[in-house]
Amino acid sequence: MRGTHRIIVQNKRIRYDFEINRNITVIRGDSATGKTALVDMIREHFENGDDSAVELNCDKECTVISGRTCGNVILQPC
Amino acid sequence: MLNIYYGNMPEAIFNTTVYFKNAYEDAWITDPLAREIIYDVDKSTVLDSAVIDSPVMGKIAPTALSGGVKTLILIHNVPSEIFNASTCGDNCAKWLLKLATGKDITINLRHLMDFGDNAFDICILNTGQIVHNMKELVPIAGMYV
Repeated sequence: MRGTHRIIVQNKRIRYDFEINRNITVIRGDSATGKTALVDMIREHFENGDDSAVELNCDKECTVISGRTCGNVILQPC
Repeated sequence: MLNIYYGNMPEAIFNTTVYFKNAYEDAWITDPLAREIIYDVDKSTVLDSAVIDSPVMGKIAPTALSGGVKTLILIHNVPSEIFNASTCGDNCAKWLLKLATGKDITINLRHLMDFGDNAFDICILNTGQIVHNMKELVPIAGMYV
């Protein structure tokens, strides 16, 4: 990954606003601090667009890769 | 005693969120210990078996509880299974120790959970050693995760 990318993800109750600038960024923290909620919102926006009622702003496309299909994915540099 | 197997453990239930969604019972949510755990970890209040009041998400169903809370509730209610507790953050560590008070509980961990500064009794199943603090735990567990 090149450069710095700001990601804003929000719904009516929660807003995330952060920047990433490494090939791999690990988000870690205590239980109930919003890690899964963030991933779920990104997935819902990717699958449903604006119909998800999730707003996502980023200069790059954001998606979620999870579960057993992880091994089948080839990532392209962005 | 809290028994921990560190590293890959095929017989452990890995995805506790999915297991909880398909297996939880109403009584597990209104249980006094569950209420305490939900209040402490998720900062939420159990209103009844189907509704929890979350300060962030509003009124939620039990399936929307945090992964860590679901795992703790499963460990408490399904003693016949070994659960992957790496779905729990460090704020769940004290609850794992409390759940193991007076009985044997076995969990699987795939990372170094911080059990805090107080003394504890944990049996690391990989070697059979019993450790009493993080200084003793880390060098042994670190060989497996």
